[in-house]
Parts: sequence; C-alpha cells; structure tokens
Amino acid sequence: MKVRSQVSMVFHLDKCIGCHTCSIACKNIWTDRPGAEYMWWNNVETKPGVGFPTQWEDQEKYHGGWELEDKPKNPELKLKLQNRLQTFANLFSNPAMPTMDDYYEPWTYNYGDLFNSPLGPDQPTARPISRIDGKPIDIKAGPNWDDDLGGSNIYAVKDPLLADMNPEDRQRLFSIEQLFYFYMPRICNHCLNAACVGACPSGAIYKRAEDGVVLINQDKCRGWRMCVSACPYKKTYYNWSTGKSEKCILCYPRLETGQAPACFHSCVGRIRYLGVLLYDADQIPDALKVPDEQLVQRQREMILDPFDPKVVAAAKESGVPDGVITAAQNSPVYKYVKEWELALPLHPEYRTLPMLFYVPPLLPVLNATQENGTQRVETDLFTSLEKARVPVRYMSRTLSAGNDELVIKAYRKMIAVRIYKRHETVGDVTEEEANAALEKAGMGAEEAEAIYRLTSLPTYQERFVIPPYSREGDIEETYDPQQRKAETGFGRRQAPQRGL
Amino acid sequence: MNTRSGKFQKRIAPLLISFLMFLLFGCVQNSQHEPPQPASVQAIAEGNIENGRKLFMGYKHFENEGPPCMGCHNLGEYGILGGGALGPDLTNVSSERNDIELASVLSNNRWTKSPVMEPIYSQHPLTESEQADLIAFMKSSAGEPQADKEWLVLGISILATIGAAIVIGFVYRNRLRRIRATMVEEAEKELL
Repeated sequence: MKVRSQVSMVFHLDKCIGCHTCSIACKNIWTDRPGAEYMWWNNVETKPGVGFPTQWEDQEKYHGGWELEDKPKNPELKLKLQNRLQTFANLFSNPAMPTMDDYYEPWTYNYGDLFNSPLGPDQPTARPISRIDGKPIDIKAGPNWDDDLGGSNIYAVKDPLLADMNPEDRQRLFSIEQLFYFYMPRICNHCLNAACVGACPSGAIYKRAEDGVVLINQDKCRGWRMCVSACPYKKTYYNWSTGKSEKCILCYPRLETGQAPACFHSCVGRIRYLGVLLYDADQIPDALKVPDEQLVQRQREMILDPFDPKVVAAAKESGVPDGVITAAQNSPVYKYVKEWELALPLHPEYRTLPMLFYVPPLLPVLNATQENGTQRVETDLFTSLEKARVPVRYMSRTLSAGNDELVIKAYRKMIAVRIYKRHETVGDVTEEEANAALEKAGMGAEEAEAIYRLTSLPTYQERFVIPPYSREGDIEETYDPQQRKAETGFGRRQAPQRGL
Repeated sequence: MNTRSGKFQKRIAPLLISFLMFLLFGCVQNSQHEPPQPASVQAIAEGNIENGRKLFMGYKHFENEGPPCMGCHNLGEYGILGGGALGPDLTNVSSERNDIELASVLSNNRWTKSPVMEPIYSQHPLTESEQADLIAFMKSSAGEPQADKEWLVLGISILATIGAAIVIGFVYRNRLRRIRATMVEEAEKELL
C-alpha cells in the first residue's frame, strides 16, 4: 500500500446559486493579466448548456482525456488525443486546439468615449472593444453566454449530454413547468491521472507530492499546448502573451499559509468544502481499467479510511506527516465522498480520476397532488424521485459515467434527510414516514443529522480543513512567516525569455 | 550545474572558439590572392569551349571557389530549368561586348566592371585560363535561341505549393475549427 495525500474538494450543487462570485475572485487574483483575459480558471456553467469552452464535454470533437484500448485482454490506457509519434508529428500544429471563438474574444468597453465625446444631440456610448487588438468588436459569445438558460433553443439544446436522450424527453426538458437547470462551478480537478501531465512533451506539468496540486512549471513550459487539448475539462489555458500554458493552482500560496483558495473563501452559498483524502497510489492502474459503470466505485475504494490503524501506519511509512493524517480524519470531503457516498466525480469516464466531487442538485419535485394550494410531500417518496425535474439519467451522465444507481442512492439520502428534518422542525410529516424514508435510504437518524449539520450549518473550520504545510517552519530561520503570508503570490522571479 | 558549466568552459569552449576562428579567418586566408590578371588575347584564342561550358554550368569548380555563372545568368538553352534570372541573359553577349570588355568584367580589373559581380569575385577571382575558357564558351554559343524557362519554374512552384497545401490539408483534416460558430449556425437553421 502506497499512501498519498490529496487536497480534494466537494461542491454541493444543491447550494449553488450561480452568482459567479468565485469566478470573479479568481479572475481578480490570478488572470487579470495580458494574455490571460480569456481564461477562467474557475467558471460557473448553467446545465443543461454548452459550457466554456463551447461543448467541452464532446470529446469526439475535443479529443480530451484517456480511453481504454479496444482489446479483450490487458487493455492499456491511452490518450484520446494522440500517441507519442503523433505528438511528435503534431508538435508545431496541434490539431485539437480550441480556437479563440470557441472560448470567446475577451472585450472591454471604450469608457473614455463617455467623457471625451464632443457635445452632440445624443448621449455618447461606450462601444465594446476587443482586449486582443483593441478594435471595436461585435460581441458574439462570452464565458457564460448561456447563463440561466439564456438562448436555450440555441445553446442548451446542443448540450452534448442530451445527445442520447430521445427527442420527446428532450423536448420535455425545455417546456414550461417542466424545464430544469442547475449551476455547475468548475475548477481544475487536480486529477490523480491527469491527462495534461501525460500529454506534455516538455514534462513541465507535475503533481505536487505533499498535496497533489497539479501545476505547470512556467520555466519548463515550451508552449506546445498539448495539455490544452488533452485536458478533457479544458482547464489548462494558453497565455498568448508569455507563450506558456497556465491553469488553476488551487491558490497554493494561500493553502501554504493556511487560507482556503480564493474561490472557496468567497463562495456566498458556502457550497465548497476542502479537505485531505488519503488514497492508495498502487491501486491507480487497476482502478482505471474497469468498465465505465464501475469507475466511481473503484475510485471510492482507492480512497482509504484515515481512522483505520493499518492505513495510518502505512501512511506514516509512506512519509505522510502526522498533521496531514489528522487533517484527513477531520476532512469534510471524506465524509461526503466515502462515508455518506453523496458526492460524485465529474465525468469519471474521462478516466483521469478527478479529485473534485459534486453533490447532485435536488431540484423541485413535481407534485402529482396538491392540497389547498400547498404542496404535500408524498408518502411514497420514491415515486417522487422518478418525477424529479432533473432526470436521473442526466445526472448519471454527468457524475457517474452513466451508472444511475449511484445517483439514485445519493438522491434517496438527500430526500430522506429533508423528510427527517421536516418531521423534526415542521412536524407535518409523521415519525413513521420519516423513519421509512431513512430506512429506504439505508441510513440512521444519526447520519441524517450529521449530513444536515455539515450541509447547512458548517463553520469555516469545518468546511475547510487545510492540512498543515511545513513551509512556514522551514523558512522561519531566514524569513518572517507573517511577511511571507502577506507577500506570497503568483509572479515571476525571472521574466519569461520568449513571448510578447 | 556549476560543474557542468565548468566543464563547458574548460573543454568545449576552446574547441568552439577554434572552430569559429577557422570559419572566420580560414575562409579569408583562402581568398587572399594576388590581384587577378585579365586573360591575354592569346589565351582567349586558345580557350577551351567544353571546359568553359562546365565552368559556366557549375559541373566543374572554379579554382578559387567562386560561384558558377549559371546561378545568376541564363545562356542559350543550357540547363533543364535554364539559368538564373538575376543577371542579364548572356546568349549573345559576345556581339555586344568585345573580348577585352568581357575579360575586364571577369577579372574585375580595368575599366569595365560589374558592380554586382565585383564584390562576389574579388574574394574568389577567376584564373586567366578560366576567364579564357568562359569567353570562348560565350563566343561559341552566340546566336543560339534564347530559352525563356521562367514560366516553367513558376509553374512548378505553383504546382508544388498546391500539392503541399493538399497534403497538409489532408493530414490535418480533422483539426478543430469553428465549434461554437457552427453550432450556433446549425441551431439557428433548425429554428427557422
């Protein structure tokens, strides 16, 4: 057993209100630079929708992620993008690069015109101008162009995940009182088997040993952009000014000083949880070679119980510091992912083992019966799941590689928690109904209470269990840790040699 | 890193410097010749036409390694693609210039000099016998039809460019292009 620690994340989609505060926090800190205008290391998408860049989930177009060879015996995992020879042949012309139009052309407004225009009969206007060439542009797209189902008959209908639904079902999703949508905040998943790392011809991308954050070495990056096309989540971006690729760094300078990443810290819905997971690195190769439906289960098996004395001993032997083991025991992510099995990885079928997990959103249940204008929770709760507005099929295509059972299990637990708490606080549900719900979800009242507390009432320290980093101790002799905490951040010790 | 750069300074740098010295001064030394003499009238009369042709077309090297004439000049129908188009066509040059003028140009001596050829051939002067052979060759080929092969060269270039575009287009036929724009166009068409 080779125990490694990974700073992992849970996004509770049921709590996301789609305010984009996370995106703005990230943008203001990291990507408000020339060449990075179009990058959104954190973005929030409306689902169903095409996302950013357009239709990124359609890997037949973008060729991201890994795929299992079509062999009956010992199939090997290979990049969907290209093999080594093709990497060499395509070095100077990467064929699977999204164009600027597939992201969007970043723009600002010519605000100076508002003040400097000559006096005239009409009000002056601030025209949109491109942030690439400074010329006036006709805005055609933006990073959240289909926000809140805007233009859904153009964008949402083209969601790649709807492709295998039959036309009537699809039509139903866009008819009034039947439609649904939810928000999907996305950052780099800091995968265990990152495709960007596998595709980089320069070996510039690496996974940090202490916390598993995936980073691009800006000195080693040669700008081949294979990571941009290989990442199935399209979360590496090419900076046209420096000539290097960049990606989410999980605000590691903040993590190292005990602060939550900016997008986590600023989240007003408090949907984000961060904590350490211990996993067995020896199991990675086997966990990736199972059929699609088993991927999530195998990934959960890889994640180790930090309370198990055997695991603790193995972790110590593998060099995981005691503080990190303690952090793993307090990790909210462990509870959501492994203990309660509520959180699921985004598109496990890309086989990158993403370490960002999502709790599926529980949207309004369609009610068959209404009494005196008030909605009544039905006695048989599990027919209501089939009537839920978000089709289970859609969620399982998103979060469990098509395995409906895992999504249904998570939903049953979430419904049971609601009914249980409704019985406790409102009192219009009888105890029998509540107990029946808990029993069908396969959990006890204690667990329901724990899920409720961590979902609804968590403190800052409960949401973000940041492992202790030894960096401050290491530098203490020569540098004031308090000063480092204030100064540390993204930047360059040396300016890049090439680029604009 | 330090040991590596130390090794570089000790071992590789002297080699590199001597190689650069060879490139810089070796060539210059090679070209330090006495001022060239124009071919004498008697030598011109004895010039070897066949040798002149080989020198002109570059089948044979000039003794001082000057570039062959055909790089810039066309003459008659020699060469599959003709000669270069930089300098004037030399097919009937002997009817316009006398031997002395030709010898003067070829030797960069006396009054008739080519401003283009002088800097090239002053470093790599032609010997007397080479000048004589060339003049003999040029005189012998006077009156031959002039072949204009520039169109042939242009045609080959265009065909090669189209061919390369087809090959590259085929190799990269699956590259990504216009995903968003295509999607929007399709959806708008479906709506109508």
